[in-house]
Amino acid sequence: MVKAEKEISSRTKKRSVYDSVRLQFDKAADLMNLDSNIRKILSHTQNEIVVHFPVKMDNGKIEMFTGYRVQHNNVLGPYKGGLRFHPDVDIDEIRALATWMTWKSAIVDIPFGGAKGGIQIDPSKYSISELERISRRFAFALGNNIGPEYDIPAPDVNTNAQIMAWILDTYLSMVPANERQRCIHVVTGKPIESGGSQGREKATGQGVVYCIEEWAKDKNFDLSKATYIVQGFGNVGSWASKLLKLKGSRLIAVQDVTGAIFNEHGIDPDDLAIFVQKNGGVKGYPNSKVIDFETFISTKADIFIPAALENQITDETAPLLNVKMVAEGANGPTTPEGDLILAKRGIDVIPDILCNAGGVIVSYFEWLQNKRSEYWELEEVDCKLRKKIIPAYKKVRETANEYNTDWRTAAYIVALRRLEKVYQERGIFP
Amino acid sequence: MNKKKGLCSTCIRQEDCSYIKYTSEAIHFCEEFSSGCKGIDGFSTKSASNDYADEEYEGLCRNCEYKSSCNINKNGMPIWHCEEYI
Repeated sequence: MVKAEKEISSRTKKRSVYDSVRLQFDKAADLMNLDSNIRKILSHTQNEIVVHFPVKMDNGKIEMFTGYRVQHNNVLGPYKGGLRFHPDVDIDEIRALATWMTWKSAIVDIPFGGAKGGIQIDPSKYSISELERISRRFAFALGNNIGPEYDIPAPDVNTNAQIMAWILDTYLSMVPANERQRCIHVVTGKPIESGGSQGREKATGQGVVYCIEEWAKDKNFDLSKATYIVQGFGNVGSWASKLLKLKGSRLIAVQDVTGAIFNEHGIDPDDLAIFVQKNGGVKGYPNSKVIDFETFISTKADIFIPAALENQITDETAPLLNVKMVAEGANGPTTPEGDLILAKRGIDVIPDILCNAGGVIVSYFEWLQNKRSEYWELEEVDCKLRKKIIPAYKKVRETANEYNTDWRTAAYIVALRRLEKVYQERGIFP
Repeated sequence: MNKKKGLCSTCIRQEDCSYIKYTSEAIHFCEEFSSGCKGIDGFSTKSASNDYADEEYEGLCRNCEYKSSCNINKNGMPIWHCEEYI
């Protein structure tokens, strides 16, 4: 048992997703014997920007806001990561999320580093015009701390394509007129008309399905006879379900925020998506039986796609799972204890950091299209996404065999090796 | 109401949330989080050309969200103008 594994079993069960990520980093770094100097570098963020800025509200009064941008590492390429608007946003959370972005980009071999940012704000308390002024003033306050070749924000919790368009417009207003057209790639996740990419909407779900297809090929498993269950029917869960349906697989149970449903003969994901759009959740979907969480998690199926939230596969729920494989569409759905149980039970796991990387890969494609003044067709985006995520999958599989370890640890090793190699080649200035 | 830290603290779905009772830690990622802020929840990058298309249908219906429940296009002809298209 390596040091980090001992730590897993000795710590209390209450652990945030960030603690889990740090534990995972330690476990991988121990196993691959990561250069201690590079480990030191990667344990710190490079820049932490805190801005306080005033915004005029609709009632004419001025309100002060606090925004953050944490840049963890840019040795592989420009900093990249989302901006979230939430009252609980703080520097520790942003720091952890920025670090995670570095690993995520490195695993799928895209030339980006890691960053994250946000504003402490409850957006539901502001009008659209106030949100626009807040977003624009935040972009202005960040100034040259973001840039198309330096740090590229994207949507995250409570931010969207519209907010990215406002940030883009504000940034462009700050650069000389003759350089504006060269800076469209300062943000990704833009509306299509403002330079967004085709395929961004379904990218994460598509990446999940590409990984599942590759796993099926490895196991000589016929997806047209497969059954699957999905937790979460938002963007990732619904797209993954719809795309798996095209492979002939049968969705038999779904849980979302409103409850869980089951139909052994199959639930049509396209029809369910329309129902959820109209009714706000899966509850009440016809031709299905309502089940409780324990029944849902114990449903016998071939594939489980957790695509909702963190810490769902734990030491309590992992023993209940009755599937061959878990494809993590959500971030952090499995706790370290859950991981150990899944490994002991021989259930394969495609870890989040690889499985749901379709989103960041297509963000990279958006950035690339803007840089080259190109528009790619959906087919081209899909094809390139496949070409990016499948080699990453194979690399993780290879590394898991090489180190005789689980796929999550292997994925971290793939990322850390890339970073280590570049640091070794470039050295430390001066 | 089970008031939680993290995203749940401002999520309008927390009262009826089927996940919350099984989650003791603050949540930082949730695909079903909603602030109830129309300016944010209601906007999408989705556009017609970006949608997943169904080979069974033609014209606008091909990627219309209502295609399987539509009561308007009963003759199956390709539709290029439709006020109900989403």
